[in-house]
Amino acid sequence: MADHEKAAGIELRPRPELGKLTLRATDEVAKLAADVLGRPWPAAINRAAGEVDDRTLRLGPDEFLMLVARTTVAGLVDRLRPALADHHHALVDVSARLTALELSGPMVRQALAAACPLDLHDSSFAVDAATRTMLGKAEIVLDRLAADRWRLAVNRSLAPYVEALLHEAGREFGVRTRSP
Amino acid sequence: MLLIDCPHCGPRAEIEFRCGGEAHIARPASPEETSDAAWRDYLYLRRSPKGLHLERWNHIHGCQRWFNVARDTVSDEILAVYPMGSPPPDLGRT
Amino acid sequence: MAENFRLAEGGRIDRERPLRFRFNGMEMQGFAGDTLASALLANGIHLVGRSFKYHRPRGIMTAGPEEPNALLQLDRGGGRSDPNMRATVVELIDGLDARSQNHWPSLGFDIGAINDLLSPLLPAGFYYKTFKWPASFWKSVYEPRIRAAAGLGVAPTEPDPDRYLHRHAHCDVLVVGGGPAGLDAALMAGRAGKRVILADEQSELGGGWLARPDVPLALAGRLTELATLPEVTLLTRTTVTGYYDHGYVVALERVTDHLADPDPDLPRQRLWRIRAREVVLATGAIERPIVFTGNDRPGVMLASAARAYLNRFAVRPGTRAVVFTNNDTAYVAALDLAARGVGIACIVDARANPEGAHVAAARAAGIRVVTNAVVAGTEGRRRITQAAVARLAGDGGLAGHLGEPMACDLLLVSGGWNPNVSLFSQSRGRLRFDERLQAFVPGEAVQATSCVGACAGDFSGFDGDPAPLRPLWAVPADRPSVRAKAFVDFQNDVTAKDLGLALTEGFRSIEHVKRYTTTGMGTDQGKTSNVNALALVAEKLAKPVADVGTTTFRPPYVPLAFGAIVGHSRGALFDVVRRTPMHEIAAAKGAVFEDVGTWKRAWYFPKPGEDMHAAVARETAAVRRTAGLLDASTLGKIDVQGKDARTFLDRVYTNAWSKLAPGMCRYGLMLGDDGFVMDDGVTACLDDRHFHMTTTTGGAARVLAWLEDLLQTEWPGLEVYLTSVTEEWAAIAINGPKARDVLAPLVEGCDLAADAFPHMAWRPARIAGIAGRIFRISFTGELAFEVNVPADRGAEILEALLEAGRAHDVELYGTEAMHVLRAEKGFIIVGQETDGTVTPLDLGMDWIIAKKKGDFIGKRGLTREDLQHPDRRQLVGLLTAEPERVLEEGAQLTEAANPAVPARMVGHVTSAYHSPNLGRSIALALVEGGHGRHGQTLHVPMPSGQSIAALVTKPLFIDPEGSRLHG
Repeated sequence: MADHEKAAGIELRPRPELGKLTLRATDEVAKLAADVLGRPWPAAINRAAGEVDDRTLRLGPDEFLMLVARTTVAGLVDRLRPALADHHHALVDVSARLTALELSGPMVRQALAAACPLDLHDSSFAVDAATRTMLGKAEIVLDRLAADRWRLAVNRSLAPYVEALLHEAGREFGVRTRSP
Repeated sequence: MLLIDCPHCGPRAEIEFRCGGEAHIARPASPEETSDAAWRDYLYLRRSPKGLHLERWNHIHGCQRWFNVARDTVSDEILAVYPMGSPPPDLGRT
Repeated sequence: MAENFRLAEGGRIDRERPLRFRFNGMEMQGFAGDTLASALLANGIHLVGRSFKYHRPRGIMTAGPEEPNALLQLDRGGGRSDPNMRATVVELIDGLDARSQNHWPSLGFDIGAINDLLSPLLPAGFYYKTFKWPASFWKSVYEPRIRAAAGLGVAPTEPDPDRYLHRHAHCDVLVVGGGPAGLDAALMAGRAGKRVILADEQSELGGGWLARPDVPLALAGRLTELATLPEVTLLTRTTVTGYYDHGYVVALERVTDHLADPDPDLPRQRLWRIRAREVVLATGAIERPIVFTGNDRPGVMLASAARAYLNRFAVRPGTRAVVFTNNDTAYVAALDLAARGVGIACIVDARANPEGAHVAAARAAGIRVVTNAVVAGTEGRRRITQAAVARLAGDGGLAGHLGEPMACDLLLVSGGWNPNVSLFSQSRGRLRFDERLQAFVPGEAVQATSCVGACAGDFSGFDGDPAPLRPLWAVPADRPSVRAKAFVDFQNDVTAKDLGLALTEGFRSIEHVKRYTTTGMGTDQGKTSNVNALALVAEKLAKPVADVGTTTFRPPYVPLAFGAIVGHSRGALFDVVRRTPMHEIAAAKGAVFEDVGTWKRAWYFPKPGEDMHAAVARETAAVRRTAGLLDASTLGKIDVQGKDARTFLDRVYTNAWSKLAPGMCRYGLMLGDDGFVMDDGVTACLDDRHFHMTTTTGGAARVLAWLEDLLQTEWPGLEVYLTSVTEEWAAIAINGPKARDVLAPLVEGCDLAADAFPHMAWRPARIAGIAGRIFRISFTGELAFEVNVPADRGAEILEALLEAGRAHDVELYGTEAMHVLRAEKGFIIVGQETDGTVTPLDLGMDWIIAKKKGDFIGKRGLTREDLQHPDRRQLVGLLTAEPERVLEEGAQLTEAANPAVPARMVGHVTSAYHSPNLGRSIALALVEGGHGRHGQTLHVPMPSGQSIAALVTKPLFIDPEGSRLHG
C-alpha cells in the first residue's frame, strides 16, 4: 500500500491559553455584567456572542460561559465582583476544569456525527450556535465559531477520551493534530 | 430513542435527558404532621398507568433545566411539555 | 468448476471482471456484480446447506434477504468468520471463502440426516416433554449434546479485527427502498428542497426493475436527477433495520464488505442513526412459498427469484422447470425463462379458470397450463427430480393425480405476495388484512409514516398482478404419512403438522403457536413463513385470518454484527477513563491503579519486591509514623453561592450550618428523604454566601444533580447557584505527625501553627508559589492538611511536596492504605458501610443530627417507626479471635459457631483489613442490635466448614481520645 498523507479532513488544535468563567445569573443581571465589561452578550439560549477568542456562550436561561485569554480572567473577575455584589449571581473560574479543543476542516461535522446526536446542518446549527450536548460518553459544550471551525469545551479528565474518539471517527477523512 | 422538545433548547435526543419519574408529587408541607403511611406513599408509591403519564424530565446534558412532560406510555407520544411548577395543560383525557 | 449455467449475454454483472471464490474448498468462478448465490447457481450448485433440525438437504430459495436456507459460513481471513450469512445478499468478491453449515462429515453425506428418519420423535416442542430423566444426565449428557447440536453456523473465536462506526443523521424525509416507488418519492421530496435520505439494501438502486430483462431507461434518468439535488443523500448497500419512536430509524451500511482490499481507514460497516420528520416506506413485497409435501428440496425456488437470477445475473437456474402458482406473476417468470432456453414442463395453476394477458401469452408460447391443480409431492434428495401433480377436489382435498410425476430439476413456486410491512409494524402502525391480495397491508399509521408501491398493496408497477389469486395456505396431504413433510418455516424446520400439533395441544394465540413451534423465530424472522403460518392456523381454527393476526415485528430486520451495534465503543473507547492531574507521577512511582467509577485512583505503590499486602502495610505504617501523601482530586467539589446558601445547607445536611464561620469547615452527612445515608463530605465556609462543598468520588455527579433538582423543583424561591468545581481543583492530602513540618516551608501567606490554624479550618495561601487553599481536615485521625490548587498545577505541587517530604521519609499512599487508616478510626465510607438502607443512628452517628434545626431532607424519614427499631443492623467493630485472620468483606455473621442450616444471619462484614499499626486484623460490620452487643462473640461461617470467631467491639481501634489529630 502506498504511503501517502491523506489530506486532513479535520484538524484538531488544543487551546490551553483560553480561560473560562461561568456566570450564573438572570437575564437582567447578565446584561448588567455585559455592560460593565463592555462585551456583546448572547440574548438567546444556545447562542454565542463576541469574537472567536473573546466570547460568551449562553447555555441555559441563567447560565453563561465566557471564553477569554487566560491572562485576563483575574481582571474580569475583579471588575465584575463589585458590580454584581448586590445581585444574586455566581461567578466561578473554571479555567482549569475545562479544556478547549478546536476542530476545523471540511469533514468536522461528519466526524462529530459519529458520536453526537445533534443536527449539525446549517439550518439548525448555524455559525454562533453553541450548546451543551453529548459526544459519545462525554458531556461537551459545542460552539460553532465559523463555517468550518468548531470548538469543544470538555472537563479536563474527559479530553483524552474525546481526542481519541475524534481520531477514530475522523480517521477515514484524515485527522491532523496541531500543537497548541 | 425519544425526541423531546426541551422548552429552552428545542427538540433533542433522549440521550441528553434524565427522567425524574412521576410529576406533581408534592413534598408534604408539614412533614412532622404527616403519618408514616403518607410519608411512605410520598417516598415510594407511584402510578404506573397504561396511557397518560405526567412526568418530570431534566435536560441534564443540555440546559440542565427541569420541566414536565405528558407522555402516553403505550404509544410514547409526547402530548405536552410544560414548565416545572405549572399544572398540566388540559389534554381532554384522563 | 465451469460456469455451465451462465448465459452468454445479458445481466447486470461485469463480465470484464471475473472473480475467483471457494465453496466448501472447491474453486469456482463468478463475476463482479454477482451475489454468492447467483455465482453458485451459475456453477450449477443448488445444494448449499442442511436444515436446522432434520438436516435435510436445502437449496437457494430466494434472491434476497428473506432467504431461509442458503446460510453459509464466510471466512474473510484475519480471524473474521461470519456464520449464517445469506448467500443471496453477500456480494461476490475475489478470494471469497464460503462453507455450508450444519452437517458432518460433509454437505453431501451428513450423519445428522438421521434426524429426518427420527422425525416422528422430534415434532415441534419435543424438548418440552423429554430430557427429564435421569436428572443426573442433564449436566453430563443432555446439555453438552444439545449445545453441540444447536445453532447453524460456528461463532468466531477471534476478536473482531474490523472497525465500525455510527453516523447520526437528520432529514425531512427518509425513503426506505430505492425501487421505482421509492425513487419517485425521493425525487418529489428532493425537488421541493427537502433534506432527503434514500436507503436501499442492494448494491445499486432500481429495486424490482433490476429483475426485468430490460431495465427501463427511466431508472438512469431518475438517478441522474437525484444526483443533482444537493440535499439528497443516496445510500446503497444500506439496510434499514429498525423503526423506533419519533421517527428514529436505524440502518446498517455495508461499507467495505464488497471490497477485496478495502482502505483500512474506512470502517467495515456504519450504523446510521437517523432522525426523520417523515418516513416513506417503499420496501416492496416478498413472494410467498406454498406449503406442500416435499416443498423444501434443492431446486425449489420462488418464481420471482428464478426470474431475478435469469435477468439480473444471467444465470439459468435449471434446465427443466415446473411452475406451481396461484396467481399471474409466476407466468411472467415462466415466460422469461422459456425465452432464455429453460424448458417449462408445465404451469400448475391452483385457480380453476385463470385468465388474462400473461396466461394467454404462456399458452401462445406453447407452455402447458394445468388448472385447478396443485403439486402434491416431490422426489429427489440432493436436487429435485420430479413433481407429482394432482387436481383439487371440491371438498378441499385432492382428486387424483394427473398422470405420472413430471421430471424437472427446478420447481418455481408462487403463493402470492406479502407487502413488506415489517418496518411499518415496527413503527407501531396497524395492519389490515386485504381480502383481494390475501395479505396484510399497512393500515393506520401512528407516526409520520407513509407507504408507497407494493409494500402499500399497490402492485400497479409490478410485472403481473398478484390478484386475483386462489388462497392456498396448504396443499392437502396426498397419502397421510408420518414422514411426509410440508414445510412452513424452512429455517427452523417447522411443518404444517407442527402447527396442527400446537393447536391440538391447546395453543390458540398466534404468539403461543409461534413460540411453541418456533415458526418465524429464525434469523429470517419468518419473512417467507409468518403469513402462511398464521393463515394456516386461521384455516384450522375456522377463523378469519385477520382475527388470528400477526406476531410482533421487532428490530433488527436483518441480523447485525455486534461490532456494528457497538460502533466505536470498544477497547480504549469502551468507556471514558478519567485520570487526575497527578496520574503520571503516580504511574512513574509504580502505582497500581483501581477503578473508582470512571476514575483511575492509585490503589497502592509497590516498591520492587513488594506485593499488595506488603505495600499497603508499609504505606499505612508510614502515615502514622511520619507522613503520607494521597491524591484526593477525584472527590466531588461543588461551589455553593447565594444569600440562601446557609439555609440550603441546613436543608440538605443533617447538622446545623447557620453558625459555621468563614474560614471554617464542617463534616456533613446527606440523607435521602427516606432517612438513609446518601453521601457525605466536608463543606467549607468561604464567606456568608459562599461555600465549598465536597462529596464522595462516586457520588459527585449524583449529588450535584440531586441538589439542582431540589433547587429547581422543590425550593425555586431559594437564591442559590451551584457550580461543579470537581475538576477545577487538584487536591493532595498530607496526613501524619510530620504533616506540618513537610508543608510549612512551601507555604506563604499562611501560618500553619496549631493556634493559628485549628483543626477544621481552611486558609487561602500560596503553596510552592501557586495560589490555592489549605484545609485542615483529616480522614486518618492524624494531623493533616489538604492542599487545593488549580488542576493544571497539581502535578507541580505533588513534585514539590515529594521533594519537601524527602527529608521526613514521607511516602505516597494509595486508596487501600487510606481505607485501612480510616477504618482504624472507625470512619465510615458511604457505599461501603452504607448501602442505601443505613441510617445515621445505625452508624452510631446520633451526634450529627441537629436537635434544634427545622426540617431537613431525611428528618421525617428518620422518625419512621421501622428506622427506630433497636434490632436494626448497627455499626460495630470486629476483632478476630485469631489476630492474623482477616475476614472477608461481605461475610455473614451468626451467633452460633456451627449453626444448623438454614442459619440465621445477624449481620455482615462491611470492611476488613490487616492493620500494621495494631499488628492484627480489624473489621467493621453491621449487626442486628449491634450497639448492645459489645463484648459478645459472633462467628463467620466459611465454606471450608470452619467458622471464624470475632469479638464485637466499638468501631474505633486507635487513639480513642483523638489526640493524634493535633500532631
